[in-house]
Amino acid sequence: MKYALFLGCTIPARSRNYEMSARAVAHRLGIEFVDIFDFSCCGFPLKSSDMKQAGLLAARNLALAEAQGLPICTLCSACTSMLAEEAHLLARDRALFEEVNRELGKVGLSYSGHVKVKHFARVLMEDVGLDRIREAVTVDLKGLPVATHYGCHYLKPSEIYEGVEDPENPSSLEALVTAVGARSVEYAHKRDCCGGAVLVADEETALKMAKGKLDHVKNAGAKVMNVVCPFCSVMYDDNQKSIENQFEVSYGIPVLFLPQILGLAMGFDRKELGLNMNVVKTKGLTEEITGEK
Amino acid sequence: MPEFQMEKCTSGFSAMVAREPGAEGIRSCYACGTCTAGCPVRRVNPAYNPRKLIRMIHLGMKDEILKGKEIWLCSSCYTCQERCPQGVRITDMIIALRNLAVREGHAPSGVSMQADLIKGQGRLYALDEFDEKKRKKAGLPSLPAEVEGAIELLEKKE
Amino acid sequence: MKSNRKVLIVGAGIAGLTAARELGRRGISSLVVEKGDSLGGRTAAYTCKAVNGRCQKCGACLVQDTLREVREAPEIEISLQTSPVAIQREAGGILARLKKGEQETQARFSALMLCHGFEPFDPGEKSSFRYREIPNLITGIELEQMIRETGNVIRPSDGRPAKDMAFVQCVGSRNPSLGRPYCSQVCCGYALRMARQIRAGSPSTGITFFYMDVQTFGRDFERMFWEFRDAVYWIREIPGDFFTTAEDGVGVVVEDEGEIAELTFDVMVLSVGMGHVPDQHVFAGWLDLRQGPEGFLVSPDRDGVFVAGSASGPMSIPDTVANTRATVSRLMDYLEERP
Repeated sequence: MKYALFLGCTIPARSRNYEMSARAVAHRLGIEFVDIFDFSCCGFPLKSSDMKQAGLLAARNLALAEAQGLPICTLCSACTSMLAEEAHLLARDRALFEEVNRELGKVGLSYSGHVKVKHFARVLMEDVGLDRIREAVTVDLKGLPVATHYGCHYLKPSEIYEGVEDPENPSSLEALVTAVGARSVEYAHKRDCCGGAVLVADEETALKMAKGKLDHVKNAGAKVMNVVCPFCSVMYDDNQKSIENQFEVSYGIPVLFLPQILGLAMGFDRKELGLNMNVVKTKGLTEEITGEK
Repeated sequence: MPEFQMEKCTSGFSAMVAREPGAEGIRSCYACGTCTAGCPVRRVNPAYNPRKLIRMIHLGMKDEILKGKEIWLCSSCYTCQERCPQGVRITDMIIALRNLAVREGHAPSGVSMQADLIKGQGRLYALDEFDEKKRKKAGLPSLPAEVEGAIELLEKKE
Repeated sequence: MKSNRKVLIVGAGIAGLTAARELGRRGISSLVVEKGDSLGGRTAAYTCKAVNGRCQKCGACLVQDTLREVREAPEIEISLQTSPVAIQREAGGILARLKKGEQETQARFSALMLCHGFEPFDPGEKSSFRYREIPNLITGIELEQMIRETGNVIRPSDGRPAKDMAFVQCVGSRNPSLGRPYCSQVCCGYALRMARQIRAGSPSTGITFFYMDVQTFGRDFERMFWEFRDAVYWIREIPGDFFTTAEDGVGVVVEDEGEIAELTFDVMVLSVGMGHVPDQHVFAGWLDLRQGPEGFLVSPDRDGVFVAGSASGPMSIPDTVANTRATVSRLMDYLEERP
């Protein structure tokens, strides 16, 4: 199981905890990550301004992975959708394929169309499997009530993900957290978007969207939220305090990246999982689970 | 909501949008409202209404759309696109409208800033020495401050 | 003039029974095979929609009338729990192998009429409806059966009467993404007629319609619509998310009078459309029949093979009767031409 690890823009700069915990868990489970130094932005934030240029950036990243004969494992859901969508389009649109290769040719690259793009959670489900993950558990999470948040780009647009999961009825994240001894909590409007992409245009709308989810999660009695994308983490973790202040509510719900939860169950410590970098304090959580302060 | 004024409409706007990749199917819309009903943005901000936007496109209300704030409110969650009975790629259409808006010089400042950063350094956040130190301390591999190859690729594109 | 020619009719719903009756009136005998264990097909489960004794012309009773005539006609043979195993054209006629229980028989017929009907859209096919998760979310067909059997609308979750209900139109119709781009032509009709009947029986029941536009098929329907229109609360938006609310209510979020509102109902009815039967391709394969793009059968109207009723496309009960009578007429021409 060898993958080119695609980090995108936000994770190396702002969500190192996601990167650290993912690398730790991957290593424990036998996934080898190869770092391609020249990976750039996936193109997603550029799409709104110029979708052609955005697509080119994505294609360049695909070409770099292809040159090393590697499939791509992504951590950010937006990167996943951007790269997978470009691969999907290039496989279906001959004219686009040729146009993109012309441009790539100008910088000495080419793409013949054989790179698979998978989000880390999907790699865990498909390549590692729930049994191996269960076997790697060394710490009892005692049915920790977790509110899983799928977000949007992890599941949609569904046609680029080959029908692996029904966006209206997904189950992979519940399966993963349950496999390591946590309990997935049902909450209302589970499939709602975090609003991250609206932040740059209208902060209030974005915060209201995030607030909606936090309200439902709190009402359902979850002790922690689980995310698989740094955008979602920004909305629920980084902005939780702003939402609390602006709307005069209170949550205090830690927001963990999936591998941080998995990692806790596998016995990694706070430092290895970057838990000090989460904005909403996680000390109480780890103290309860592992006794680690 | 401003009053609809026929004289201010742009004839051919609907066809113009339909020429953008992804937006080809917009004329199949029969205004059932499924998109808007499931839209998470609309639920907290009624100013964003995809059904209304499509109707405005067909009526040729080019300026209101391209100069307006509404098209920048979409969170690209794809719920509308997944559920549309007519297969209209609504999210792709929003991206197409944004591209048109940018071409005419109407991007929100945050969006142009992001675009400039990506084109200028190949990533959204340039990784400086401070970031490198933090990465090293956390045992993470080194990354380029800027990605030359990406900058070059975009510069060479006509 | 009696004849020793016999027609095989597949399906004892309104189309099959009408065909048998019409052929019988013209002196042609038939064997009607029905895979189920009762006659009348789907319409037998539909409710009369009369309002205060006034007929709304829904056609649900037509099957009972037809059934009476068919039972009394000596030239019509009926075989329940019988299905065709294979049918083919042979030597200027039709050769069919039929199975009833363990027993298989083979017989020759002068002609064949396929009247095997339709399959209602299963909302489980579109997960956003959450049809099987929400207890008080039912289909129009289930509502028909409920009213026929109990005379009331009750919540499946707890048996309490529904005080506030809603209909969602165009479910599984006008939907190319589901492979059902057509209008099923019956849903606005059945929903409105049932709403009218429910309101007549229980004037305080709130009824909301979520719609895109109202299709007025049939001669009287438009007039009836205008008479009834103000008794219903109309919202021109098909909901996107369906969810369970407190006490098993059915919730949706829509724009109502300019405001975004979460509305909750005791019972919500999905007005499901009509589709082709699951084994349509089997019939098509046996007899080399053409299927339209949506899977309905095109009646060849020659070589002794005819398709009538909703097996050929969505249609109302009155339209099914008309379609069947026209098809029988063509079948008669065919029989007349043969030596």
